[in-house]
Amino acid sequence: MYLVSHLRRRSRIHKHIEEENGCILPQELVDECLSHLPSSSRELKACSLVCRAWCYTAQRLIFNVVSVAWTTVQYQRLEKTLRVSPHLIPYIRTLALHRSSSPEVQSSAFEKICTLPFTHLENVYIFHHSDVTLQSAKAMRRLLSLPTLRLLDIQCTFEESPAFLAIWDGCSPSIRHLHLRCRKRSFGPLRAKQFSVSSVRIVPESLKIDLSSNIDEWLNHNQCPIDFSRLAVLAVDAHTAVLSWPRMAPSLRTLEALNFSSRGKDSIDLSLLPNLLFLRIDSISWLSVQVALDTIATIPASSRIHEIILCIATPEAPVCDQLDAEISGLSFPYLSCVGLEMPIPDYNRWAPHFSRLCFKDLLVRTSTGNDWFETQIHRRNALH
Amino acid sequence: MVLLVTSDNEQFQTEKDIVERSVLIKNMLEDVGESDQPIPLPNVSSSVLKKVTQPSTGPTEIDVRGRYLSTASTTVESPSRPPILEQSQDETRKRTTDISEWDQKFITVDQEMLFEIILAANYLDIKSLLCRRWLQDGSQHDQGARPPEEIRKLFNIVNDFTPEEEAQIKKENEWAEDR
Repeated sequence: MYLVSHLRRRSRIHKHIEEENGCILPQELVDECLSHLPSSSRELKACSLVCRAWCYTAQRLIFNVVSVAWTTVQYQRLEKTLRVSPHLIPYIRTLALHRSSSPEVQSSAFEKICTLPFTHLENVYIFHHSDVTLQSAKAMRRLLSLPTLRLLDIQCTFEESPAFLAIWDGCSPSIRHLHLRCRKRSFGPLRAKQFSVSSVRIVPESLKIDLSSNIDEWLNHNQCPIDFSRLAVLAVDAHTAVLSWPRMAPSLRTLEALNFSSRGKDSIDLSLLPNLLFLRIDSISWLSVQVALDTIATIPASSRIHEIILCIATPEAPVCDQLDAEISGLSFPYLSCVGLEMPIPDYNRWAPHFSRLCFKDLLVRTSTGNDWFETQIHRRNALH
Repeated sequence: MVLLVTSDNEQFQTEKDIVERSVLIKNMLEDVGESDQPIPLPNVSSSVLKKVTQPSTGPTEIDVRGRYLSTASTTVESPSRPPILEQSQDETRKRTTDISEWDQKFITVDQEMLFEIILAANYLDIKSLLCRRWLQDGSQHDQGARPPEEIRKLFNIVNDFTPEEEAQIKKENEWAEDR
C-alpha cells in the first residue's frame, strides 16, 4: 500500500517538474521562500536574476523598503532608477529620506524624490537635519498628500513658519500614525491668517511627540489640521502637559496606550483615561520613582489595564524594592504582566528584587530591542 | 520528547525543542497540551522528516521565546533610523550566519528530495528555516548569496532573461550600493 502511494507521489513530483517550465518549485512557494529574506540581502538580489517569475517577487521585496542615505549620489541614483524603471515605483511601501545639516545633499535631489509619482507608499520617514526651505516643504507636501499614506515620522527643523505650515497644507487624511520631532528655530507666534483654509484633517490613531519638538502652539491651534478625537496610542516622553491640552480632551476617553517619562515633574491622573490598556513608564530613577508610583496609584481598581512596562534608567535596589512593594499591592482584574524593559543580564540581576510581582506571576522581561510605539502601531494595524 | 508518526507509519521520538521549529507542531502541542499521543504527519515521509528534524550544529534561528517578548539582543536606539529599518537589519544579522558543515550536508540532496523537503517545510511551517539555506552559497563561508546560475541549476530553472534584461535588473538593484 505504501509502495503504491509512494510511487504515485513520485510520479506527481516528476509531472510537476515537467509541467512548471522545469522549475521544481511552485511559484507560491517561491514567493513564500523569498518573503523570508531581508529586503537588502544579497540572496534577494541574486534571486531577482534567476528568471522572470522570481524577478517579480524578488524586486517587489527589494524595493518594499527604500532608505536613501545622506549623500546626493544616492538620491540621484534612486531618482534615475525609478525614472528609467517606473514599474518599480508601485513596489515601494516604505520610504526613508535622510538629509544632513551639511549642504552635501542638494535640495533639488531631495525634492525630486519627494515629487515622484508613488502609488503604494504607506510609510514615510523624513530625517531632515538642515532647515526646511519653503521649496523643500512644498515638495514634502506632495509626498505627504498621497492618499495611500498610513504612517508619517518626521524629524526636521524650521527657520520660518510658512515652510512648516506648508508641509501640512493638503496632508493626506489617510495618515493614521504620526511621529513628530519638529523644531522651530525662531519664528514668532502663529497667526490664523498663516494657516491655509483647508478642510482636510488628519485623524491619527497613534501619536508620538518627541521632547525635542516645540510645536505645541501649532498642535493647540484650532486650525491645526490634526484631530485628536480618535487617538488610541500616545507617547509623550516628559511632555506630559499634552494630556491637559483642551484639544486633547476628547482623546482621553479613546486612549488605550500611553507612554510617558517619569522625568516630568508631575504625576498623571490616569483615572481620566477609562479605556487605558497599556502603560509604559520611561526613565524611572530614584529621583522619579515617586512620580511613576503616584501615577500608577491613580489607576482605578476597576481599570481594564492589561500591561504595565517599567523602564528603569539606572536600576538600584531601593527603587526596585519600592516599585515591587507598591505595584504588587495594587489589584487590577485584567493586569496580565508588569514588564521590566531591560537586557537579559540586567533582568537576571534585578528580577529577584521584584519577588512579590514574581510570586503573583506578573513579572516578565520586556526586550529593549522593540520600540513600544511601533509595537502599539502593529497592534492597532492588526485590529483592522 | 514528542512522538511523531510519518505518512509511511514510521514513529519518531524527537526532542520537543527540535520539533517546535515547526509552527504547525508547536501549535498542535500548545492546543493538545501534555500528552503521550503520537502526532500524525500524513504529508511527511520518514526520509524527509529525518532531514527536517536533524539537529543543526550551526547557529539556531529559533528565537529565545520569553513569555512576553522574544529577542535576546539589545538594540541601541538610533533616532535617525526608522524602526522598520532597524527590524530588517536585525533580521539580516539573524539570517546572515555562516553555513555550518551540517548545513552543507543538509543542502546536498537530489532534486526530488529537495522538492519533498520544501513541501514538507511548507506543510510544517518551517519555511524560513529551510528556504534560506538553498539560497546561500554552500561552497563558501563568507555569508555570500548563491549565484543565480547555481540557483537555476538547483531548482531546474530555465533562464528566460535576455542579456539586456539581466543587465537592466542588475542596474536597478544596484542603486543603494555604496560606490
